[in-house]
Amino acid sequence: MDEAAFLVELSRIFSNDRLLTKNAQLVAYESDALTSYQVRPQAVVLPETQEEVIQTVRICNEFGVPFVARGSGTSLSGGSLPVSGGIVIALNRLNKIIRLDAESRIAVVECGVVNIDVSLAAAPYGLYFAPDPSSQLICTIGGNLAFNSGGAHCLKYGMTSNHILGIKAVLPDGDVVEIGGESLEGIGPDTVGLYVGSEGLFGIALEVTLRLLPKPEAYRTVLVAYHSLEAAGKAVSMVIAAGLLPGAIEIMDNLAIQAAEAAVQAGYPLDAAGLLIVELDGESSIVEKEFNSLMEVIEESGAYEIRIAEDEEQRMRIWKGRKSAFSAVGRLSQDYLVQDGVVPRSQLSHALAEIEKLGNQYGIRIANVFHAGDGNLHPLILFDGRDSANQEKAEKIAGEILKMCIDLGGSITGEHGIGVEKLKYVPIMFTESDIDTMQAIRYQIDPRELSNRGKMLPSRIKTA
Amino acid sequence: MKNGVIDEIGEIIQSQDRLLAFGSKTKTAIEAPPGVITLDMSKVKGILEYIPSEYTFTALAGTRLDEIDQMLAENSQFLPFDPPLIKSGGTLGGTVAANLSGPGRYHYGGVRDFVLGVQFFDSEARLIRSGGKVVKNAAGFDIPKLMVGSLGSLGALVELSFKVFPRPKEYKTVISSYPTLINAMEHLIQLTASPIEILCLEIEPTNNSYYLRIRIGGSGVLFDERIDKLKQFVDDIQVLDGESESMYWEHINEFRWLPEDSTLVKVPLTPRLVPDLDEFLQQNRSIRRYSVGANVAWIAWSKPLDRLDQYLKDSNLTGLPILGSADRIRLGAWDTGNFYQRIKKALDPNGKWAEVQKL
Repeated sequence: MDEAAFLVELSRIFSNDRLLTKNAQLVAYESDALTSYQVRPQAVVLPETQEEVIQTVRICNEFGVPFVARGSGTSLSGGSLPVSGGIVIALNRLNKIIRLDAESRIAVVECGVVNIDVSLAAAPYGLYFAPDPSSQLICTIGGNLAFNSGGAHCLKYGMTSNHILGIKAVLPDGDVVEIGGESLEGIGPDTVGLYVGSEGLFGIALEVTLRLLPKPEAYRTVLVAYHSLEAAGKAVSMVIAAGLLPGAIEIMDNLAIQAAEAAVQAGYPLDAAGLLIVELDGESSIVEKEFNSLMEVIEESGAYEIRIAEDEEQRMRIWKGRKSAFSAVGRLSQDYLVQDGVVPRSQLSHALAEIEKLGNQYGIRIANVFHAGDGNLHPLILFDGRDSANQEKAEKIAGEILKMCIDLGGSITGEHGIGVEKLKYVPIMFTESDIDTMQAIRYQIDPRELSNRGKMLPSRIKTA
Repeated sequence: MKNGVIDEIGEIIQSQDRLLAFGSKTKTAIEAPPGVITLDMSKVKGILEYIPSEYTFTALAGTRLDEIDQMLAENSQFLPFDPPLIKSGGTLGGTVAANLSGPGRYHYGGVRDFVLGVQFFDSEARLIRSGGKVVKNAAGFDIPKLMVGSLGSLGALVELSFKVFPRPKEYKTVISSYPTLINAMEHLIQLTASPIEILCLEIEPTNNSYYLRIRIGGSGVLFDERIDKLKQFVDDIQVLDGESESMYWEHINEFRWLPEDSTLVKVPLTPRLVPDLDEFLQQNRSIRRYSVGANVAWIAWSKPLDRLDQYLKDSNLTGLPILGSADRIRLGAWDTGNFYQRIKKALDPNGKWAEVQKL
């Protein structure tokens, strides 16, 4: 590949301030939120229009240069880790909300729009965008789409995929396709469903049609403290057995509580071994009725403290602690690994006991924050990056946790995606034929692995 | 024994060049093209796993919907997208392959939103798994969703996992009528943006009125209070409840309203497109309903299909005949775009899986 000629081609589109090639400029793009992996790209481009993205992809295709699309770089699985010798296409400037049609309850947005901005724009119409990953204040719709992001409300509302109706994308060879549409219904194979969560292997989604929902009329949020994590887990089973469908059911263990409290002073009880957050949402009369049923269950669940959010401020305070838990753990330890394996909900207590056992066995601290309603674990494995033996132990624990999730009939990832981080567990979760099938699709769309090489599926190209 | 049936199907797949899988053939309009061997999946049936507290189940694709519905009802759960043709003998696999959701799709989401995992035969007779059995999963390509609406063109579905929800204990349906479609649509649009939890929202045109039908539900909730709230949006209401209410929706969802000699056609759309379509259908004296908050039209078409086909093409809409006879299946501006073609080539390089009839 003629590197100089490639850069000359790019410079025909991008001025110096939007074509970054100096080391000092590239450092910021070396990794995403999975900071233990770093790769310096050859260049970073900052397109401002969809057409510039299309032209960039076509140039990459012509020169055979791999590219990685990046939004705000919040991936926890290394989803936007650059490829050596490749470029990063940074999409934050494609941040236009093209159309918001309250009557049809849709928003058509560019890929660099920040998740929360969709809900803010929809709020005057009483509408919102349901997927709410913890990073929703900064993460972009393009990244949400590529990794089928989750959040705290997935049991009731589904993941990002359940809220995307149409996609205009540039495929890795520069072809522009439009799939799906504006209707909730469709005919023909659900190609939008396949595109969402494909971790950037199918090119770049430029423009996305999102489904908006009416904002729930009422919320009831309760914070419940237990003397054991197991008791909190059991309470979840009791809530579900009562036939309730809360918008969110979250659990934090003591270490996570301590960290969150130190970081944002959410007012969590510091002595709790397990903290349960349950939120009901919907039409006010239904929520009130369900709240009574919920409180009957909670009162029978062996809790030692129950706090009900009396107003929106108290509710937001409860959520602030939960949503800042990951970054808060950074105060306990500079280095940590986050896993997001899923187990069947009935196996939660068992899974947590196993995680605790692993922590004790290896002498490593593990904080737990998880979406209990979905069985989606988030063990945060703390280690000291300066001590390679310590880091090795942490990675070993992470692997054992994922294997346990598979053994229990779950998944290696609920919402963070495979990225580069969980690549080695793909052959454990899937058979050779399953992987062959995914590879067959991938190679029909991108035979040279130009688009986000090295993520989700093993690469057959040896990188320098 | 189950494995025996599945093995047999695998052998057929290996020995034939052109195939199309079928369940109980309740979607009578969808037929295999001439010369294509039909693969009978209705014997691949049975519920494999159901743990009510997980809100999930796994069943073989040929399992009848009525069996699943009954199993879920015994645990006060249901498939929230209201799969049509439950009483007519429809199967789980057929529902996925044809992408059929009923009126409940409005509130809860459609087949695509509840399917979690799939196992299917590929064209080499290998059993391929994708997705999973848990309610949340982001590992690998989402092939379960791709199979929704695939009409057998990408493989034969063998096993499916679904998410389920608690079933409302009680329902009520509020009906109001309007002299014009525009009038009914205005009310429908106001309701779609309201925070009232409406499960189903439909418009049914008749000779001289447009009926707006609103279904609400819950367990021990104060229906009177909620109906009062609805009265802020709609006038002159009639309320259905109990047996007559459930029979009404069954009538709708089994398409018993379809006149003989008509073809039932599904047309996805958005509320804005309803007025033009309705004018065309009225001119052609078609019985029709606008379901899922006017996101899908169910059309009883009794004239030659080429006329509807042409209209849909001109309007950039698509249509799929479901029941009755059809000389063509892919109506209107069907997407055979570049992206789908590549996926088809990847999953079926030799074109073993027939694509349903097209002109």
